[in-house]
Amino acid sequence: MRRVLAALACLLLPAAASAAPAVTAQGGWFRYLLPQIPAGGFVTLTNAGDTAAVLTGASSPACGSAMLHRSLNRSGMDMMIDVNSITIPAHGTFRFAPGDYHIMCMKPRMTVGTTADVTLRFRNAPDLTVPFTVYGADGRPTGQ
Amino acid sequence: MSRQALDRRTMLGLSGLALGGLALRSAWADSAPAGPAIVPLEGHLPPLAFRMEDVETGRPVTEAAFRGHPVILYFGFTRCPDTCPLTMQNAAKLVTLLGKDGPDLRVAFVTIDLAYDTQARLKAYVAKFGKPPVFTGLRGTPAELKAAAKRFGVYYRAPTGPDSPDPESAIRHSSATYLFGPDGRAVALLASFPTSRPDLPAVAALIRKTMDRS
Ligand SMILES: [Cu+2]
Repeated sequence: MRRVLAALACLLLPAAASAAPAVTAQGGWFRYLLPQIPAGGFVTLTNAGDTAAVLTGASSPACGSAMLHRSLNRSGMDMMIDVNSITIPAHGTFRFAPGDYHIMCMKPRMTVGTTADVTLRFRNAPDLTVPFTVYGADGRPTGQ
Repeated sequence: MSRQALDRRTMLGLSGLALGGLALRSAWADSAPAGPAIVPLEGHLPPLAFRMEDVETGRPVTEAAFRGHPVILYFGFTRCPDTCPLTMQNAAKLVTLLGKDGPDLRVAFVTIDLAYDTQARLKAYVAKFGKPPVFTGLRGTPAELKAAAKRFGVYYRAPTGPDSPDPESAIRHSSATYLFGPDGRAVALLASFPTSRPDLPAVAALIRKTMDRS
């Protein structure tokens, strides 16, 4: 039995490796206003793997603490909620965008025109560190 | 307060408005503007009136300062990192889109977060988006803010002190953005203005119309 299991494991392991999520990040950016005001971070995540990836958190030395948030409007009330995890489907994308999902950078220490590294933590994939371009009040120019 | 209780209170607040009406409610229901981008308000909201501190000068200001100008009125707070700057950025784009009429517009940002938004902080924040007199930060006493919120059917909840943990996500406020004409009359609820699809050309056209009429 043990030998059968070992053989099975040999068969399954390469398959499991290719089925793992393979997440890349595109177009990361912050809207930075003032040091005392949280900055919103946005990025597009693409998963080229055969398995859904589950994002569970973000951190950045430029943020103090960082959180996954979503802006919601319910019955005319604007609010933000904490998001525990975000699923990036297999062969799919997930977009953080103004007015919607954002990375909440609580105590921003950054400079417009530079980049700030953000590390994204996944439940089932290695950490991913992504440079976010820092923009000011105008946000990212449209068309990018 | 539980979320359910809060939602109930929100609904009560909304239904208490003279604004009722299905079109309006559906326009408010979603941040992606499924309903109309602009909801006409004439006769359904009282004319512009308030008394607060203009954070630029530190002096009291009333609606008289805006007479003769179309006014966009928005209630927000500086610690709001997403929808508030999005709305203010839309306002800045609108001013550009209005061209030579841009400097005639007045964009009034009323803070609902009196604990955190000092005069200096709100002034620095508003300056990120545009210069006075087009962009104005308004800060009331608790009583002044309450009066304005009541008059314009705006709900807000900012129960936190400056040091509370994660105060940002506990602060809630109506997203209602109103357009008033140069004569102070309420023209429209700009339902899509605090979103990523603000339909600025339609808002600009409406503003020009209110300017022609006065
Ligand atoms: Cu947030």
